[in-house]
Amino acid sequence: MSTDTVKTKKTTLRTADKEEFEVDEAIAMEFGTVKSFLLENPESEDPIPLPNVSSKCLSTIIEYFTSHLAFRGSSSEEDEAKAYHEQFVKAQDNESIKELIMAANYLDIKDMLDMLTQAAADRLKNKSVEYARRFFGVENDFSPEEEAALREEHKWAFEGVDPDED
Amino acid sequence: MSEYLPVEVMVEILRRLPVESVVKCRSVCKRWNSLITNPSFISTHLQTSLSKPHNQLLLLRYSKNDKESLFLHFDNDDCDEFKQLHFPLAFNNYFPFFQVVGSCNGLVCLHHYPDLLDSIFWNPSIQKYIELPKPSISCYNLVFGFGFDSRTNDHKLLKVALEGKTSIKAYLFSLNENSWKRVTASFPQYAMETQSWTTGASQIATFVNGAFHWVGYQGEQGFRYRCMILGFDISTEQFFVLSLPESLIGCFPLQLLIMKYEESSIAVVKTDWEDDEQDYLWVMKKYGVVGSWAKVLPLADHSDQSGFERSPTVLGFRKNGEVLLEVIGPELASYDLNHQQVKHLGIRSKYEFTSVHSYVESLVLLDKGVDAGCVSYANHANDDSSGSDAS
Repeated sequence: MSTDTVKTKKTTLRTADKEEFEVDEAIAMEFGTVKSFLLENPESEDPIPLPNVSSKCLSTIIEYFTSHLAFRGSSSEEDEAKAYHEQFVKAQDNESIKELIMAANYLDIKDMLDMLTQAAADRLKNKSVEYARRFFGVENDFSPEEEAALREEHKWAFEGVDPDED
Repeated sequence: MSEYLPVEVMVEILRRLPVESVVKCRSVCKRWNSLITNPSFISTHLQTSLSKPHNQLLLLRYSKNDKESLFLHFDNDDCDEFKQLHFPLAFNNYFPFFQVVGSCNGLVCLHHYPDLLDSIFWNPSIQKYIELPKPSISCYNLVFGFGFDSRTNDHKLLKVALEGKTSIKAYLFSLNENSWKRVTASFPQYAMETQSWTTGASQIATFVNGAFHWVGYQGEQGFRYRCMILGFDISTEQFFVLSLPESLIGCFPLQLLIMKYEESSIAVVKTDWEDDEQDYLWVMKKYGVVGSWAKVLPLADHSDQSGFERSPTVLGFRKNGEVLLEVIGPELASYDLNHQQVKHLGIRSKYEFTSVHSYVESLVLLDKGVDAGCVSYANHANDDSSGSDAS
């Protein structure tokens, strides 16, 4: 990786909606799939296509990493980084969390995926089944009898559910 | 966006959810239901649970408001109460004549006494249990142990029977097979005390480091005991022997109790019935190395026990290495061996604290167990039939 602070090597990424993003190679190397591509094609100057990632998603991810990498290597990393992560996650609505999870999974960004899946779990905790269905865009394919039987089997789990905020 | 999240992503989210939430998620759709009840997911969820220190709980048996019950407490600084457990309805008539044989991966093994052949595996977090088929053992001098065989991903109940004076036979129940088998490994002639002379409760073997440990002896009962630790490896199904600290070898076997020490070693408590019920606590600093036995209680300098009006009873170890003690009250206290400090946890019982086990919430038995709220069904398959599955 380049140690020259004036001219850092950049990589171009092209999203599903045909937008191109020029990023520092340091950030690009955080994405597992991009890293593999760059290692196999070190000379390539062409933009790397990311057909499964939208421009909205990618720009959020880039923004996240720009701050995240600044924390790495700084002595107060732990607390500040933690606060940043919490704020970042809090600012995303459910739809965005889901999109980001898909993108992080496709791009193979382990740490970000861990953070996002934990955030999704935290949001689901203690919410209703209907909330979970809406969150994941999943349809209920149980018959009314089947669903009733499951609820009856785990009656105790359905007590004290938080009201859905959205 | 209506595309499905890939399975590996679903697993990443669901494995991070607490047990109660995962169970609710069964109702979301058929795909989720089949993912959640898959044994491999149950195992993944358990591994995640075990990796988080704040998930470590303590299962305590004591009496609050005159009623004895089982409670889950966080194994944190203040040992805060998490919840009170409700005994499986079908076994209410056994209450309180049951012993906690052990706690492993979210499963608690209970056995009813004096009917020593009746045992259940219970997951209180998802309120499911299975009643074990009765083995065809005709003897009632039994030592019990509950453990997990990581080689086969199987929970097992061990019953060691003393037939005659020194003939020891072992029987092992496998949850995966849902059946009993007679262990074929032979064992040198040892005797063991199987029941408390005062309460009738059975001796329980402690499961640590892949093996069960309990106290046996050679010599005449009532005259010149030579005690040692008898062991049984859950995977290899072989017996072995470990030596006790020198000064404990001549004790009456029922004075000695083996407990788990740290992640993979053992400790032994001796209750001295003459010396004002003083408890002596020895730990094996290096498991299996006899020279590594070290006495940690009472301290060499008795004045350091000024926090105690009378000798406390050692109940077990906490995750952080502190010793859980029952002090006058009776109350629960935590003792820091390094700093020699007692901390009163504010947990009071009407009668004694009968048992302490570590516990973690899990989904084990979600795919197999019967609801704890249901009427139990009779399952008296003997040990050479396949036994019917509880679900």
